[in-house]
Amino acid sequence: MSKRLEAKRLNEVMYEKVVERFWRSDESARGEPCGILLVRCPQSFEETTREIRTRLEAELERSVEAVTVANREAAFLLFGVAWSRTHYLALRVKQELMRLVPGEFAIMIADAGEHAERNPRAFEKMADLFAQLPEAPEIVIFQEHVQPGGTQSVLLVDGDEEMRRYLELRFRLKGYRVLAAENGPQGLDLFRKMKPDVVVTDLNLTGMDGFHLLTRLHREDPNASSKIVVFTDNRVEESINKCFELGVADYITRPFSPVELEERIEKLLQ
Amino acid sequence: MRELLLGYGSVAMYYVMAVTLIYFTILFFSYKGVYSMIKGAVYSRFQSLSGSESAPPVSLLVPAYNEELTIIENVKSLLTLNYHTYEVIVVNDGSKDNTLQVLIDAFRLVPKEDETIRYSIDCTPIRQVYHNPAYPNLYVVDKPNGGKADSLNAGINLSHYPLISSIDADSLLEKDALIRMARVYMENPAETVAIGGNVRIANGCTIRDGVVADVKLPKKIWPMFQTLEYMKAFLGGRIGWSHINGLIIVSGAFGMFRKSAVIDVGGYRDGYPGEDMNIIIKLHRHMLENKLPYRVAYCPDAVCWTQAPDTYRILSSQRKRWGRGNLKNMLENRDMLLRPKYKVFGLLTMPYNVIFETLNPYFKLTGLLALIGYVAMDMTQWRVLLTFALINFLNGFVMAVGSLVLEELAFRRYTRMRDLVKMTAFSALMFLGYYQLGVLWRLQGHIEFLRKNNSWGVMTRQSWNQEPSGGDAQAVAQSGKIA
Repeated sequence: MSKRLEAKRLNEVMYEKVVERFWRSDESARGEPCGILLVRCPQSFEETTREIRTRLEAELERSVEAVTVANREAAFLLFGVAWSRTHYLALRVKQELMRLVPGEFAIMIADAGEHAERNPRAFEKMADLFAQLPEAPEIVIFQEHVQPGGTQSVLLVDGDEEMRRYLELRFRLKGYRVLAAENGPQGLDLFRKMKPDVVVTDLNLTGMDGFHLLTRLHREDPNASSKIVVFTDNRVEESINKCFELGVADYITRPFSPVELEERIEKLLQ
Repeated sequence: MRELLLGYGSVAMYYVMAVTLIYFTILFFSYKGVYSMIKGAVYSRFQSLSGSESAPPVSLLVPAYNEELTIIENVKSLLTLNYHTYEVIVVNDGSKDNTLQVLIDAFRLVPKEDETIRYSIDCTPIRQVYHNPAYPNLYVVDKPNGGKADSLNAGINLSHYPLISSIDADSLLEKDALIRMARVYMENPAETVAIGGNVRIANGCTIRDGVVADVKLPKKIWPMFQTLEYMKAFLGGRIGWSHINGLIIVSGAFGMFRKSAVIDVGGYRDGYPGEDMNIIIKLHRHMLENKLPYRVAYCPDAVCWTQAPDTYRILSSQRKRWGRGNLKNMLENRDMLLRPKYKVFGLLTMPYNVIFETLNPYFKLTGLLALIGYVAMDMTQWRVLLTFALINFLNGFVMAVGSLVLEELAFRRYTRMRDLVKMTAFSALMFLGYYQLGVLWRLQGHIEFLRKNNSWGVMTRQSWNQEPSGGDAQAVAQSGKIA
């Protein structure tokens, strides 16, 4: 199962695996814990990882997801394995490493966190820290302080593909997880499934009229736990008024300044 | 006899020359109009305009009679137009099917008790107005059957906005259609009283979520002919006529009006087909008699897609009805003919319509008889005859191709090379039968008119029934009534 992906960094492949798992699984698996075991050994890397893997699989009595990069770093993703068990497994792996490549390795344990799929930055930090580890027979524990609302999600509903792509790119660079819908029904559907932190929607949509979408969103989420930003060409006072009556948090008209849009969204999320 | 025939021959020649001249002049004006339209469109940002307060709010009036199969899709599509403030008023004209109930179910409508209706125009009293706050832009009016014109009048009475737009329940508007029309209105809001839209044939096109997604030519022959006919009439004809402010009709399928002007002329006339032409004639008359500056404009880039009748039976009945309506309108307004008081409309549009539209069948018919006479009396040479036929054909063909070129210059809806070739070929094919059928249908319409002269009351309901509408299912359902 281990793939050799030279170009990508360790955190990227790990993140991909976790997200893949998240998307594939049904609702119940969403909050499952995920222990991560990172191992680096420059000497006889392949044999060592194979040994460790066999060891882990024997312990857990099932197959284990593993990713490797640059022929020296490996990460074992232990889905469904709680923190204490991960710690125990790490001790066993350390024993194994001491036997196979004494003194020539670094080992770290971490976990993917509750909303791992929303948080690529945690993986980045994890990989950075791991890369700096000296080779020593000590298990380093990585614990990311997931700030509440660390990575937030934005749902974009806009019929104009260019606009959607542009905003998607900008929001992504800002660190948001971006969901995009090209029409009203799709937007409503994504809203129900993903419960995004912010919805940025146009009033001029296909499939459903913008005000109706707002009414439905309001009905779904009467406490306004998701902030709704209307982002539209419609500059008529009455429409603006109607939108605020429907519980909208902000109203931004086009032509627009992307910086302003981003700032206003950031403010809403504070 | 010989003298008579000779005399007829020269008259006919002048007739043909005159009509050709007018056609080409109008086509020329169409080119001029399209040229300025293209230039104007480059600088118009419709997207931004659609949200601007300067675009006036519009009430869309959708008369519906037995439309239960398609009404939901159409209303959904109408509710998502790109326009800042507008309302959709569906008028259920006492349908015999479940049109009202399907609307109530689909949009969870409830009776709106606090709605007061000002009866500024006479119409059958409204039974109930339905509304749902979750669809703030939709109103459904229920009233006893009274005909299409009556439904439109009822819609006007309920409407809340200064502009009204009539739309057939079986037609789809493009998302930008309203804002494009409003742009034309905003160019001259003081004078514009009516704006016509461009009606295109949707047969053969792929429709997804109430939007025409893929434009293709119809596969069947009758819609194909009509596609070309509409293109010629709308692009080659109406743009030109609007350029000299002589437009005589704004299609009932899609047009926009200033509400106050429509109320001033007493709304739509009931009891006879051709209410769309009638309202425009009345507007011309009213404005000219009161010496008010006005404009009846045409907006070729505001597109409405409609289903064309695809069987001979329905098509012929539609055309007979048009013939009947045209004759009725011409007879009613014959006093405007050639009166300088009515300016371009009385001096050019009316005579043109009477001579080249209404009386066209009689010229064609006498022409045919004269031809038989010439041959019988041996007054003709085949070569001369052929030359005339060829000139006539070429004239018509150049006209048709002229409209096609206009289409390709300005709109380019049909992008496939195959379609272009097909359209050109069919433009030529229309001379072999289709035009002649058109003449026949018009004549039959006139005969119907004379026969049913005193029975308009009964006709009302029937004519509304005959509306060539909807998908295939409807067409089938209707064909029974038409017979």
